[in-house]
Amino acid sequence: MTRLTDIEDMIARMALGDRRALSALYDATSAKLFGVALRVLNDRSEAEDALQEIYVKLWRNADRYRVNGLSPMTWLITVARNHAIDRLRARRASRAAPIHEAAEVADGAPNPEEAMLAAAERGRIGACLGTLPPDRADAIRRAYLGGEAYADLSRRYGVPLNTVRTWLRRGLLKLRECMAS
Amino acid sequence: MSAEDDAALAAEYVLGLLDAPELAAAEARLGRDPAFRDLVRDWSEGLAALADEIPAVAPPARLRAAVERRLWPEPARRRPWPRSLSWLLGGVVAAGLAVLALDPGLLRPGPFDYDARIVAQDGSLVVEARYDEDARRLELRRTAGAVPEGRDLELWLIQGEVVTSLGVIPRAETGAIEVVPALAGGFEDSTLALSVEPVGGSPTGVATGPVVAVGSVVER
Repeated sequence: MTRLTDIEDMIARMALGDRRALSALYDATSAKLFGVALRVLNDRSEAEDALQEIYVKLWRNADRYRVNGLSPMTWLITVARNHAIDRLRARRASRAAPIHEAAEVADGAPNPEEAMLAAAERGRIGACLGTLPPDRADAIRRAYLGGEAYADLSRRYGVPLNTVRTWLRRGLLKLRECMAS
Repeated sequence: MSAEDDAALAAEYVLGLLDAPELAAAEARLGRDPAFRDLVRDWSEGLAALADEIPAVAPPARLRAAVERRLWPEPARRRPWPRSLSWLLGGVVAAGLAVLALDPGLLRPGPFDYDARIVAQDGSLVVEARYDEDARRLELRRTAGAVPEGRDLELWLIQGEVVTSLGVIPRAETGAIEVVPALAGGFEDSTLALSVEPVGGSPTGVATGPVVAVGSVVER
C-alpha cells in the first residue's frame, strides 16, 4: 500500500530527476488522476490525452512542490483538476453551440487504498456541503469538478450574474465556517 | 478588504471563478501576502477532498509508456524507424508465402533461438515474437493494439534488402506461423515488419498497405 510519505518521497526524487520515481508515482496515483480527468472531461480519449499531459507537468514541476505547502495528494489532484478544466474550457470556447450538457459519471465509494491516500485532515467537506442549501452545494461542486464559471452558474440557476456571485460567496463562507469548526 | 472578502476571494481563485484582471491581482497578492497564501492553501486542501468522491479508473496500459515517450524520446542507441522500409517492401518481390498455423494453447516454453518486439512508433500496436529455428515455428503474442476490422496484418521478414512475406498474423492475441524451409535459417540480423493488407494478405506478394510496426530480431 502506498502511504502519503511514500508519495512525498516520490515527488522529491522526481525533482532530482529520478525517472523510476515517476514510474512509481504513476503506478500509485494514475487511476485516481484518470478518474478525476474522466469526471471533469467526460470523454475517454480526451481524458487519456489529459492524463499524459498531467504526468508531464508533474515531472516538470516536481521541484516546485515543496514550496506550495500542499499535501501531496492535494497537489496531484489540483494539477490534474486544473489541467482538465483548462482543456474543458478550451473545448467549450471552440464551440459555437451552447455548452453541451454532459452526462454525470457515476459516483462510487473510494477503495481502501484511495481512502488511505486521501489525506484525512482534508476531510469534512462532504459533510459540510451537506449543511448548505442544496443548490449552493451543487454550484460549488460544478465549479470545482465541472469548471463552470459565474456565467454558467447564472444561466443554470436562473440568477442574475451579479447576484450569483454574492450567492455563491456566501455559500463558500458558510462552508469555510463549517470546515473550521 | 475584510477577512471574509479575502477568504471568499481565495476560494474563487482556487475554483477558477475570477476574471482576467482579478486573477492577475490575486496572483500578485500570492507573491507578497503570506496570509492570503494560507487561505489559498486551505481552500486547495478542502476542495481537493471533493475528488475523494470520484472513483479511481485504471487508465489503459499504453498510457504509461506514452508519458515516458513524451518526456524522454527514444534514445539514439535504439535502431531508428527505417524510413526506407516502405520502399523496400514495395520494391522487392516476396517469395514463398508461409503456411499459417493457429494454435491457441501455445507460447509454451521451448527451445527458442530468436526474439523480436514488433512495435508501432506510437506504441499503439505491439507484437512479441519468438522463433524456434529447428521447428520452423514463429510464435506471436499481441500485447497492445488489434488487427483492424476488415483487414489483416501481414508479417514481413526483412533480410538486408530482401523482403519476404511470412504470412498474415492470427487475429487472436496469440498464435503461431510455420516458416517455410527456404526462410527457416534466415532470421539472424533480420527485421520483422507488419503491414495492413486486405483480408488474406497482400494479393501481389509485396506490401500494399502502410507498414505499421517494426522490430529487430535479436538472438537469444
